[in-house]
Amino acid sequence: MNARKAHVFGAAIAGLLLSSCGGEMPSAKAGGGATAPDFTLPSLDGKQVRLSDYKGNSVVLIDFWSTTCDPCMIEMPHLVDLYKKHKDRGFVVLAVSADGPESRAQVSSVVRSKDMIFPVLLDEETVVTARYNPKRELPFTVLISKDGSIVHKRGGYTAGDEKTLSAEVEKALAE
Amino acid sequence: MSSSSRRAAAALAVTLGSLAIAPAASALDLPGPAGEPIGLDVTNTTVVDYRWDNRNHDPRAFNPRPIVDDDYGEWINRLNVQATWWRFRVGVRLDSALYYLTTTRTEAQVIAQKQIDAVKQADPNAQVPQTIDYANRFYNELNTRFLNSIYPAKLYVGYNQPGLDVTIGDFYAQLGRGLVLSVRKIDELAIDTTIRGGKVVFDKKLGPARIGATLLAGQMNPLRFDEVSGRRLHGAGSPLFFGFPDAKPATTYAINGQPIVAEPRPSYLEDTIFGGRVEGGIDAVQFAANASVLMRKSFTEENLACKNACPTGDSTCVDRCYAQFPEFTVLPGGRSHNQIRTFSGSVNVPSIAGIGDLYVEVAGQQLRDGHVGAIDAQGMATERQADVSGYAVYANANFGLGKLQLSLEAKHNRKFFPLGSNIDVTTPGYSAPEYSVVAYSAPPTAEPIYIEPIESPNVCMTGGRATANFKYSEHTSVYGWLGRYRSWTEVPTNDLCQSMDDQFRTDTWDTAVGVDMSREQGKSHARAWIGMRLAERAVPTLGTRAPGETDVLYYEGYIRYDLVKHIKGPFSLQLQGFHRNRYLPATHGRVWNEGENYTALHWSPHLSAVFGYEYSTRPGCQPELAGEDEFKVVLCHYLSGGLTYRSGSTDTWASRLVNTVNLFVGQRRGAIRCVSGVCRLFPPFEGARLEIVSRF
Repeated sequence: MNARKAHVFGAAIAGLLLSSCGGEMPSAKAGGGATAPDFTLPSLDGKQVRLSDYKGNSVVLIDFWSTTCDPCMIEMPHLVDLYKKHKDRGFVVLAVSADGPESRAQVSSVVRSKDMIFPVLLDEETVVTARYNPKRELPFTVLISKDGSIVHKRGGYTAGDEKTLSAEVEKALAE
Repeated sequence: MSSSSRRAAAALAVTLGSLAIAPAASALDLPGPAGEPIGLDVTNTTVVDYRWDNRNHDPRAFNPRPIVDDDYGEWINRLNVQATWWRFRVGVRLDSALYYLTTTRTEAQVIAQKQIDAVKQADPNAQVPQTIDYANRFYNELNTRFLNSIYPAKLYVGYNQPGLDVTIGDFYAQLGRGLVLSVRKIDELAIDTTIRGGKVVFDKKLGPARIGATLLAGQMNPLRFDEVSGRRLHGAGSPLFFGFPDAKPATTYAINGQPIVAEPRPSYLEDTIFGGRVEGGIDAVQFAANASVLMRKSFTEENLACKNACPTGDSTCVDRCYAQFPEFTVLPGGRSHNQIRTFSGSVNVPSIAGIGDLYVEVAGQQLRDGHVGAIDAQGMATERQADVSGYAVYANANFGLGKLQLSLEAKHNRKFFPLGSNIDVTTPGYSAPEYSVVAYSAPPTAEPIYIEPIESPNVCMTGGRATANFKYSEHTSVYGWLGRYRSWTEVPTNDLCQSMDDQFRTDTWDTAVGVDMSREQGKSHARAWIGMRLAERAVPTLGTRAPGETDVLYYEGYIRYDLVKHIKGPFSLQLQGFHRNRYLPATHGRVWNEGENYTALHWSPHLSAVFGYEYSTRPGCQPELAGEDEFKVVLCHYLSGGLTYRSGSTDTWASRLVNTVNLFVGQRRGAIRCVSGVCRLFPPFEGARLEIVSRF
């Protein structure tokens, strides 16, 4: 099949399939979203952190960020505040750094200067980033309910977005 | 618009329309075997653009490349589907490219003739090529560009359980801090290389200690079409890359109009890699050993033997030899050897008395099986690139002393080369020069990421950088850095580090100071820094474009900023940009300025409107206006506008279908963008670009 025909055929099939599936799809999770794929990453303090260790106990916010991403730096103090506010209710932030060789050296000093008191994970290979955020948009947040399902995904940050995120976190904690 | 383009557009409209009217949905977990749900994650990125004249063509230069990049459109789509069930995962990414209204061969001939006529009319004594020769350059250029394609770019299956992760198919990988191996997605450079093969990661806790190992093997899988240039990369037909696009025969014309059809040739000979890591330690200190062996395909002996057997002057025979035994122009450094062994050992101390951390990595490199230059009558190599051995040392330490954060980096490299890809960047009709940046390692840098390296500074260099950040108050920090580097490979004739003589030595100072403030509960923010970089030759030289002798290799002064002011409620205003004053006497005889400012009005959480202004006085920024005199200052302007919409959720089908939309209309200047010392030249863009990201 040549590429042009494939484009036309593929687009039409996708359109028909998606339009026909409509309605609500079966959900196995109370949180309402797909199951969050499990992963293990090294943390900045030398430990290994596994997502599934939090299942059943915590609402987890995975924040994909990097030291070279300006909006990530602006958003970070809001995440710190959010974490401080809700950590006693079982809220956890996992800040996954996508810094590669070009900026990995800056991670720990940024973590200290931004008072990032939650676990900071290192995804230098971008393996987990690719799994959750194939487009590698930064910042990118994924909110996971206590039962391990994804309830919210959001790419980018502009001033004021923290209100929306805070509302999502409170909703997830209340469920 | 052609009928096929109309069909494509109609199909796109059907897709978008159908999805927009679909009712709300809440999940993409499907029932699976054994009571375990199947998690489905679909991300689709569609880019539709149209480009008009980007003003990068010099009407006196007979180069088709900056002509065919005008007045065409493309539809790029990347469909990423991942499914997870229990401990298993499977994924595929289908990439496709469809080009419309591109320069046809007939149009190319007309353009070639018009340009020749115009040059002759302006100056009857001007040197111009034969029309057919110039038209053939167009045909060669078009042979690897704007080719409609669809192929399974990434495929994988994986298994994950505590302590074990196995991937078969495509995966990203890094060993150490990138000295030994680093293949990652680097959007800034439009690079997305994976390894297609197998990877096993093992990890076990033994009391307070932990041990781990990684083994990987496979062939390198760079992207096969380049969104920026529309160029397609053609492999040599490795069975691992089934369904990938094949090279086309190159058709040019003789002076008598007879077609000359050359056999298809690849532009990429698949590189193979084996690598691994063993690591162990306790939380307080961790040790690791990394190794990789990069093996290149080489047909040099066969190619030379085949050509030697051809009758003198039989170009068809020679062409057949190249098609059967592809041979690329050998680039210096890491591309001149067929086997590169790189290995390293590292120590990581994540916490020093709770106030700091330390990382040290020492690496060695052996370049072996050098490229063959000549063979004897028996087909044995009589000339070969000599073996090269080198090493690199990298150290990074961070300390937090109350309000002061200190970061120190040091590096010392000798004949340590990047793992370059085996890609043809020169052969007319087949090459893919835009892919020359594809490399499989990324040495950690001690410099700001936006620095544009000159030649290959990291091959032989010693240097370091200290960065300090002082938190004056909870919402205000001041920071600065100072870097000092000495390199012997920034001068072109010594890019292999053949000599450590002072005539090749360059000394660089890099410094900046800045401030970071937030106000109004973090809703308003200001970050700005001013910096300078000066690279000087140890021995002043003649022969640059500077008048007389100069010891300046490069100078730059700059200011960069990112300012956000909260207006009211969900509204805020952002100014982001930089302004640079630059001087590079090796290529430009005068200082130039360039910069950009983007002003955005944000309406959280969904909308942003952006107005952009860029400028440049770089010689040649708009060749048509520059004339012959490079000292004449021409100010090039670039204006643009954009809209960004983010749905901010995945609650409904509509918000999933149109999760993020970016519309850009206008102009963007050509620029070099760098990440970790790897730089790519992006040509200027003038046109409209729509990107839609869908997430399900």
